Amino acid sequence: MKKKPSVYVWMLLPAVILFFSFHTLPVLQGIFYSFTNFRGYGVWEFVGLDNYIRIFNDRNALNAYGFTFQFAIVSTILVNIISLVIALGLNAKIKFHKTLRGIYFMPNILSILIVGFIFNYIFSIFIPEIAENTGLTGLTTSILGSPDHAWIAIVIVAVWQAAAFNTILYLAGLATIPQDLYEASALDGASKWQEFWKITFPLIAPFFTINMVLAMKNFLMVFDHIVALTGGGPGRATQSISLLIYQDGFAGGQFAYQSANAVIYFVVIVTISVFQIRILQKREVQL
Amino acid sequence: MKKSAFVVSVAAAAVLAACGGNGGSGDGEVTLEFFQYKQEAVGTFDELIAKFEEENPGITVEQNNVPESDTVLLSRLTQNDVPDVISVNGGVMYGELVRAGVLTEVTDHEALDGINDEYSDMIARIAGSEVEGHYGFPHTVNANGVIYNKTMFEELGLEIPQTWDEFIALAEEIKSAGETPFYSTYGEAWTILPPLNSLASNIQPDDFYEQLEAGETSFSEEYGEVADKLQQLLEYTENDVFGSDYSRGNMEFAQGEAAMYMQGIWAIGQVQEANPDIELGVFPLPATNNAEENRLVSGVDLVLATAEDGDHPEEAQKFVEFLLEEENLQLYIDQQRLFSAVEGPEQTDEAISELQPVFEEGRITSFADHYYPQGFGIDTMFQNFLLEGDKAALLNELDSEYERLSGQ
Repeated sequence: MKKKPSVYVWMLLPAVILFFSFHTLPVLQGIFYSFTNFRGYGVWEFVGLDNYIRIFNDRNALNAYGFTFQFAIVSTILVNIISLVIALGLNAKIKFHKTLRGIYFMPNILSILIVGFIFNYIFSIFIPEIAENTGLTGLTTSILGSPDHAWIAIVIVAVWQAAAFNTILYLAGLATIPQDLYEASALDGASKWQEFWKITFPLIAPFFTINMVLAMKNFLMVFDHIVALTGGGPGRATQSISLLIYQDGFAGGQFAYQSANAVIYFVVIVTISVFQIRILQKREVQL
Repeated sequence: MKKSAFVVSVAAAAVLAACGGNGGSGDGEVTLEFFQYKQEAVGTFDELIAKFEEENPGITVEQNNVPESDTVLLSRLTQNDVPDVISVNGGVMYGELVRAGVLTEVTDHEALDGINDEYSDMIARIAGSEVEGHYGFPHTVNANGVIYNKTMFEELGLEIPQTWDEFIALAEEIKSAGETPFYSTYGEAWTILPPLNSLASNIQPDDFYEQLEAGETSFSEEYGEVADKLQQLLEYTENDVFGSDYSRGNMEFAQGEAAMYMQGIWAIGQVQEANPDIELGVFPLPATNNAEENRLVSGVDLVLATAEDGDHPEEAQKFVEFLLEEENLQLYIDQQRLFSAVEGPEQTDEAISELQPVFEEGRITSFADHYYPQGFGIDTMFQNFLLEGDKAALLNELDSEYERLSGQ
């Protein structure tokens, strides 16, 4: 008897083809071009590892990596602190906590670009105007125009936007903790502080892990916030890696060179995510 | 049976046209894509397209204007998806398109005869010496200088400066009269280019790029003075220079926040829109102390070109010819306040007609930034310099970036 192909194969095949042609193929193409001097059009030839070597001596690239890491680490820490605090608050027995959950989730629904343009207005017109009228001389110029401080504005917008999603994850984690543990600890006379460190935090450790990893990965890939707020400026002070790849890769005619950068960038993100998961999961087991 | 099919196709065509005319490749029906980079000109082109479509039934022109058009156009080139008719700035981008070999050659086209040779040569030079012939039609010409508030100048009894020293003295005078000389918007890096070009084009030797290519000169040798002067001008601003952008600059200057505004004449339309009562004038920025040698920076604002292997070359050519007709160009320059590259149409707007004699005498030079290698972020480098004030680092970076980009 001839064996008929399983129905699963027919269900799987279109997905595999789609995934391959729209995901795997472009990635392979990008890797291929990173070994050439292709400008995006016209003639090209192979240059070997030249692009890769040049990136490590490229000040703009190093500057972008520096900025992106600084931004991502600060934002990841802030987002996790803030969203954990919000989640604990929303999980408490307060009035309207369902409505509040809805409101706190709002920033995540809005497009980052639009939010960014609104904040751009706030930072460069609204705040300086208020500062001028109240005599706060330190704030009369736009924070976006200062190479030393523009990154703070981006952190504010990014954290404001990302906290919503991480709060939801923490809320889901808090819902998994059985109430009787708190009752038992209350009988033993534990303070609220002890309750948090000894029960709540250890029990939501897996959610902490996933939040740290997701936040870090998302912040390393920061793009639209910067486009809407500073466009990478002033100078190159807030140019993130993805923005550099986009700006120089397309408009700057460095398609192949920035492809090489993208490959390195991909490797970096994967390495960091795997490393984070390893470390943080080990901590989970120990607890 | 046949009749109903016809009705259906007419209905379908009508629906398609109503949806903005995607597709529409039925019998004798041609849709051209007109990729257009100027946001300010969308309305004017809509008007011209309506007229063209009326004169040429069967051809529909779809205007496509996107933000960051250079980037979009380059990424479309990577997919070999070239628009039928392209309008680009006569700068680095035009050169890239020509060298990429995607434009139709128009060297023998008769429409080129009506165009001022100076401008055809200007864009040919941008395309580079390795390319023979012409691949686009210069359409309009702009200029880059100092826009000033006429009313304020009259009240203070000021005169148009002819030399750099007079220019600085003028700024001093405005300052001591309690007004602000300049409004600057360097938060948006490209707005550094108008004053930068005025200075660089006049200060660097005319054969700077040839020398640079031959390794006989460097940015360090020629751009020190440019950097100093740009920095000096910054002392005469009072606004939050690095926190302001172009559109805010147009608004504030229109409200009389400053006496002078170093921008291209393309900004005048928006300034007047923000305050219709303002009286403006323009003069060339005097970059040196040799009044005879100071020239106005002018370049081709718009080049029209068609795709080499487009689907409808004849119709595309027809549309380009239509845009170059005297009457249509006149409408365009009236609305956009530019100068025509084709002989005939004249600019009569009061604000910029002062520049007409400069053009007639030929005291013009082209934009320095049109000849830098692609991806040379001179505006960002100068933005950094103006913030940090480290001239040695700037000159160093200019040279090393040039080396990096021209070497690849």
